[in-house]
Amino acid sequence: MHLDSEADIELKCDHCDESIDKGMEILSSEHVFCCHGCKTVYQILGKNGLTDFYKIRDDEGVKSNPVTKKKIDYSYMDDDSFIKEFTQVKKQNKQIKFYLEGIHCMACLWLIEKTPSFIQGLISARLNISDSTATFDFSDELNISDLAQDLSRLGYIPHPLKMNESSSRLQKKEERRELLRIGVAGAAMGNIMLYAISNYAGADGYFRTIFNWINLVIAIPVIFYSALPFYKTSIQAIKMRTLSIDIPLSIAMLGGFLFSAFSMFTGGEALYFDSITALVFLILLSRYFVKKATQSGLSTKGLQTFFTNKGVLKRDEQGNFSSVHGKYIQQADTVKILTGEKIIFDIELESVKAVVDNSIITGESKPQEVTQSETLFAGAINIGPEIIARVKTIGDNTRIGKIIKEIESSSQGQGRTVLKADKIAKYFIALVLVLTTLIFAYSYVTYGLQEAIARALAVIIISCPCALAMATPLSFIKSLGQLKARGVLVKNESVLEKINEVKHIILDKTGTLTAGKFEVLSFKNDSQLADIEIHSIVNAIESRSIHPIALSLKSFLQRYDLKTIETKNFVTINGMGIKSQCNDVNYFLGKIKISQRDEKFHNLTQVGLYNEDTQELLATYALGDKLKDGAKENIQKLIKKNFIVHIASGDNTGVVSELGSELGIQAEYLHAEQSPEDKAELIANIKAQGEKVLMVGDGANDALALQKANIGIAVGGAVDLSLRASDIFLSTSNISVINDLITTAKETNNVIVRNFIFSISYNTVGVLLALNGFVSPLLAAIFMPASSLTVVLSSYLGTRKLNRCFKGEVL
Amino acid sequence: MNIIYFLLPLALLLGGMFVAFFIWATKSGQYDDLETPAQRILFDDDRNIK
Repeated sequence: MHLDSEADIELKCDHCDESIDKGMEILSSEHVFCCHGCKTVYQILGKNGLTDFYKIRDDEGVKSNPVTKKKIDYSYMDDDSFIKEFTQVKKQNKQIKFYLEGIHCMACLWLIEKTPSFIQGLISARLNISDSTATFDFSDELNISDLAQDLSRLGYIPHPLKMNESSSRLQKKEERRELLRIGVAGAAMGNIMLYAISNYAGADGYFRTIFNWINLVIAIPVIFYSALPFYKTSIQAIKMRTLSIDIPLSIAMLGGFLFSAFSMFTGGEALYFDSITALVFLILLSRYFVKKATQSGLSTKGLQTFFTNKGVLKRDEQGNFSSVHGKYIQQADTVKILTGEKIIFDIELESVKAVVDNSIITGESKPQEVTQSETLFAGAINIGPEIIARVKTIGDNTRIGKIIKEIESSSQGQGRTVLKADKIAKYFIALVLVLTTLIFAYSYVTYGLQEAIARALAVIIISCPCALAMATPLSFIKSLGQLKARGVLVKNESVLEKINEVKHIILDKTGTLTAGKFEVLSFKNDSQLADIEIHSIVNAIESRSIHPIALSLKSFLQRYDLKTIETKNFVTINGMGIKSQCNDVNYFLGKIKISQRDEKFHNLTQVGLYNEDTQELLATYALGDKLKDGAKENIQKLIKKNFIVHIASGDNTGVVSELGSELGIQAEYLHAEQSPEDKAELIANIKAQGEKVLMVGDGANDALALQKANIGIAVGGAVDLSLRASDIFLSTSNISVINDLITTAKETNNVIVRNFIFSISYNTVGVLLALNGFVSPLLAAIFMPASSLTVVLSSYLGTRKLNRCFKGEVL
Repeated sequence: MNIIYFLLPLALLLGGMFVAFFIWATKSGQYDDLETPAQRILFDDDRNIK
């Protein structure tokens, strides 16, 4: 027990509060950090006197975002065409709007709005917590890419939103107009109710007439201003020769108003002003809430290839390299690509060897070695020394260019999906309309025109599909709101319905199930030497190597205060490792002997440092791509729920099958070495069998698949491309919310069904009463709110399971 | 009951005034963001800004 006590003390990062694996901590003057990113953020905040961030955050009881380890290239944001499209000139300054991934609380608000105090050239920052958008005003001193880089360093990944003057202003105007319509309808409804109640209560004579006139006047703005959207959609529906719930609503509103006005002039008593204004108000309100709960701003619209917007070193006739803009590069040009630079064309390598991070296109986390005359695709990042290459294809013809083009074109073809609930409602609407016509015809023959209109209208107002129109939106409001609070942003509520039909779930590996980076996960020192000695020796031996493993080791060793050690007799043994002499000792660094492998890390790459003279193992480094916490449990839960879970990865068969067996996924559902096109095809094949597919992914290599799947979910830290191609976006990297999402979708559907049963039975009773002549404005005034209230209550209460899920219980 | 001839127009006038207020508030953008200002007010003044 005592021996374990040291290990029990859990180290927590001072910035992001995540626990740190032993031996992986970075110490810096009394503070502990999990990674360099967190340390940098802590230092930035400290230097600028912004440590209040931590106080506010702790008061709120939340964690700050762990700093993303992925390096994102924002250089495209400095291009003129980007600036023109995404910024807006405001006085002497420019303005840009970002959707910020990772906004959750007051501390975020505080920090974002304090950024002008430490980012040069930034004039002001305003954050809108409810939709996670921030507007930044900046002067010419500041490059947008630097701003984006700083934001992502703070843990908020920025995605630019179109700021095109006319469109953003139009959108704002439209939003305000919606609110005005609701406000006007609400005020009118309240006032009308006062006078209507007096009349129902028995006001008579002179007052009764005055009250009725007041009601008529107040109802005018509601019918001819607030209710306009209903008329518009009805006309659209009629033009498309389809039924919409707005048609009977419009008939009820307009017909009800005109008939009430008519009966006022003729001294009749059929006045429905109160009911129709309430109808307009309630439905507008419920639709407004659903709209607020979805995140539709991030669409594929205007998704352009800004990939080529950067400077490139091009070789001129004299053989010198000079920097030119990417758009002037043509096929067969020769270019030089520096270390850390992103490749923006498909190129053929002229240098002997190159090491690239190809994860954007293959999803493979391990750096790749490429040899002469092999092709490198746009999107790869050169992590080795500089290389020289010939351009093969540019722009839309590159592989990634083709993918983007296909995403854009296929998303344009998709209209708004019609909810199944709306389809059912259609039959009901048809029934009501037919009944109304029949009643009208029958009453016309028996009682004459006026009575016929009165009865027909009564049917339509009493049976009015008010509750029906509210049934679906109301059910979504709570679920969408709760999901949002958990970091699940739904772009369109109809996907919640579609999830219930899903049979296959396809998961990407790198970045979705795993952390997405090939790195040192464990270090073990078996020698008498101090850790720092070992690290220094390894660093010295690896200093000249550009092998993928060497690069990962070196980036791990950067965190230590290493000593400089001279090395001699440097020999590379291909496929095995490196021999070298340091301080008169011969060392071998490379593949560990099978007998000495640590079984705890059997699925990781293990590298050992040996003393070549004594053959003694001095230390072991284990490298790999870490599986996310909770990934295993969540996958097994999904399998238990009878989903067919697939893994589609760009990684090689060995890695994928290892992962598959660890997660308990059958071999036939493991798909290795998948290119972006393969993933899309895999989805197309399953869809061809008539089954619905849900795809979860993060990288650009998943974007096409996310678009093709019935439902695409982009996981936190996703590249902009896949974020925009998806239907649902998880702002956390925690995939357990996928289970929550599925439960929520299922239970929400149950609520919808229940709401439907309520409203249809109310309506049936209403129609029966109206048919038998039991019609009066009072009946409508009681009936309609009662049915709506039932639906509201039913939606608010949800289901027991739904509430348990929202409380954070794992189901 | 004569008081009603005074109260009725007054009630309507007040109602109308509030609607007018609402329209003004909406048009001046006060309802564009309902969540953030409520939290922003809780921060102390820029005590840490140099």
